[in-house]
Amino acid sequence: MSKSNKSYITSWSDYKLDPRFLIILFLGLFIISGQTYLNFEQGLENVIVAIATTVITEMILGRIILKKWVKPISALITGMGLSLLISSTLLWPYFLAGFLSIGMKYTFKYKGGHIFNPNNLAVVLIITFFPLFATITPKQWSNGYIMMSIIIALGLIVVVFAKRAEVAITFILFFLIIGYFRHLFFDIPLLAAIGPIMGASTQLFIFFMITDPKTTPVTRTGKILFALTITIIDGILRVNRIPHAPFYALFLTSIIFMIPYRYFVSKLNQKEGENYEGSKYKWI
Amino acid sequence: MKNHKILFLIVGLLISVGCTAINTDTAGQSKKQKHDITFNYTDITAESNVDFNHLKPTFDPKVDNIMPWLASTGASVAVADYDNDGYYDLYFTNSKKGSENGLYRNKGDGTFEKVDSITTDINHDSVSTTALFFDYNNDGYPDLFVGSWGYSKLFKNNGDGTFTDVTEEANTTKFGYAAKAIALDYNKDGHLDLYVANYFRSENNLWDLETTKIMHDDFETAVNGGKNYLYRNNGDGTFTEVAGDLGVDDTGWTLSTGSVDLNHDGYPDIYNANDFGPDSLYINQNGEGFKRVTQPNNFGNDTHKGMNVDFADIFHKGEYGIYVSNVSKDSYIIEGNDFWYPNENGEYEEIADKLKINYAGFSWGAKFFDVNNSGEFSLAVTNGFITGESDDDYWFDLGTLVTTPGNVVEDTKNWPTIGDKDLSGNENKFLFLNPGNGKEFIDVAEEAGINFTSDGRGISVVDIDNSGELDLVFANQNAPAKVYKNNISNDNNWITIELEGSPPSNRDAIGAKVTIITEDKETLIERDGGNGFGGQSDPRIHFGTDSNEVIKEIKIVWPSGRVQSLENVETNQFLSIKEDASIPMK
Repeated sequence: MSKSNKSYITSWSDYKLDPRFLIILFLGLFIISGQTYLNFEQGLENVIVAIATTVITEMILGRIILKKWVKPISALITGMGLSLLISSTLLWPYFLAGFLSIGMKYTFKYKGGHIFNPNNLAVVLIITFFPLFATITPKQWSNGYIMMSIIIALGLIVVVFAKRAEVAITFILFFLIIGYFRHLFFDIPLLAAIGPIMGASTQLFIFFMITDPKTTPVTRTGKILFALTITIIDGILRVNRIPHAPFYALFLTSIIFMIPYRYFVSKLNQKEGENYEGSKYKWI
Repeated sequence: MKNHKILFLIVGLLISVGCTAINTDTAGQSKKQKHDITFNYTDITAESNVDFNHLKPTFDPKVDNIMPWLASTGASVAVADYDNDGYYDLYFTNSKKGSENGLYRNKGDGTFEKVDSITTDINHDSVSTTALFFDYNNDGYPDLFVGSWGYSKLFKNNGDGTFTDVTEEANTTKFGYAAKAIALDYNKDGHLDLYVANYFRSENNLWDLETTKIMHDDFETAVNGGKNYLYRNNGDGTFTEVAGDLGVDDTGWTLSTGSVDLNHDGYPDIYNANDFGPDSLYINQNGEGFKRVTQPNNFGNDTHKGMNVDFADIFHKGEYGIYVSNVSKDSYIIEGNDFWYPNENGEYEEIADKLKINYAGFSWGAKFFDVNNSGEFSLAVTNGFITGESDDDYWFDLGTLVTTPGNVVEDTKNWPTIGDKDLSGNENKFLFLNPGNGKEFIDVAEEAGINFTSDGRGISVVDIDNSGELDLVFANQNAPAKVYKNNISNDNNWITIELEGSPPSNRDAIGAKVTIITEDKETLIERDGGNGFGGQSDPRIHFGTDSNEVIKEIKIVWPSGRVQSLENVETNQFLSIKEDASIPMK
């Protein structure tokens, strides 16, 4: 990583338009669709619990740990995301997931940056430890092209604004390649192997989870390697018939890719004599 | 740093508390608390001589990759006293071409004898999937409709223990993929009509397919199944198919249909439990048609995998709750079974989770009945989809398919091979005991002695030996049927009522409403026309009265509208009540 004059976006304020507002808008549209057209298992009360939990937790922890009142914009996104991802008729999984996602955001930091996507970590914990009470919602998005088209369109806008298009494109490309190999070597019908890429739930994962600027690398090479790692792990998990493979793949990638990556970049920063706050790598 | 440690502790605590809370799963395969119950079931399959073994069908080799799925329905059992000897007989459907259905005559001593009958050797060009006894010609002898994948058959009971195939002359000849049939007198003309739920589309011939695009095109909102048929009984031994004209040609993937007068207007309504898409509730418009009704909270418009529907007045308020079986599997789908119950405003609320009757695995047939003569409706649920030999299960593949577009799902070519993979097989059955007073039900199947794990489809509740105890017969897919005898050890009292309608009611009195009034409760029970997937139960009204030895009043509202009342009725008896034709009709 050379120290160039190239302008890296290292803070939400560096964006001309903060992509979080776009994400809030789009997730809001999905929530409305889920509560009306798609008849989601989780009702409005579940959505409210998820959002209220993440927002309140963020404000309390921000006050206690950071000694300031944090604007809960990211927490709002996390809550909205959880309400869309988790399927349960019960309320407490949304409370628990909301608390865990924000709590662990403050807990698990390494070299000054987040390791896990808060939504992903909470969802993985919920589906691993509470499979009786909650699952994630691929089926709820229906198998229709209308929903898929809407998600793709909105998702593309978000990743372009968030400057994470490389992550999405890499994931899609390698998912197709690995899917083709799974078709060839594991006797899976081609459309079953690559079909999930055409489904709404995978697209949400691609455009709204793995592209989270706070938990992905900054550089193009980093983004591509990050997405490639997720895709490979996803393929391995699918071959081994592990359910909810993408979510576990992102979780594992956060451990085996992001931790070394942050360590490596931190060393670079130190070598170059930059303090963390002034570093172009401060996100990573 | 101190704050971080506290956070670590809180997070860890929350997870560990949650983990210890997990002591069961959606299929009930884990630790269960034992309960004291005053009844138990004995497996009498062998000594009852019911040696029926269901065999699954096979179809066009083009769909070999999902053959276990396509061959996963067809086991059913129906109950009637076909020879009018006072003991109720059993009829089982078989689904392999060349296999025979089974008619078992009840000998009255707790055993059965297999009967040679024209009704059994019928699986040649079509395969049987459902059966229904109903007296379509009001002659006092139950006739038999055998629903099939292919061409269904109607047999007239000759009154001498034999049947005649009257399918052609009755005009019940439509090709289809029948999953369930019920009888109802939708227009109250005194002649029982026949509603047949169809699964696959009739334009596809599963034995000779021209396309492999035969499946549902969505896992949540599919309505590309076969049209249901409503055969109107013309009263002259013929039927006319009128589903389209009356608005009940549901193209959902209907697995089960049930009928009851939900809105108390005197006309039977229809609830279809549809797979892969919204259920359908059709409210009868004074016998002139039906109107599909939904409510904002997804009642009649849910996205669950409807497999069965049954009704019961479990709260003794004169209102029927609707129990719909669905699919639950840890990690994949936890929709749970539904129990819809109307609030004071007539809006149905889903309260199965509050009653703890929501999780019963991959649920199929379910039936409310008074298991211990307590005067409360308990609930039996059978379950299990495809028991495979492999350690792999197909849920992973299904979980992947769910994430693909509809045109991928509808084509069987895109489905990974099922082979010998398991898909919610080997599930324990459920018997939810109702303790009364609106309390949570308790699953007591294990301690009650119901301990088989075959892939269940249908349940028939029947008093085999006229003992006043309700026995259970299970129809199992690609497996032997099971017969369980109930042995009640308490001193509770009971009543069993056989109804006979007089014109203009149908003779079976299907649709008659019986209210049993004791000192402490009133319970509404409707004589149904065969509700319950894969099963038709004893047509007699049976209910316990707990410690009450005398029933204060039995009130019957006949389909004709006549109201008949009996007061101070002794319990522990079989009562035959014929509709008093001298009573003026309302």
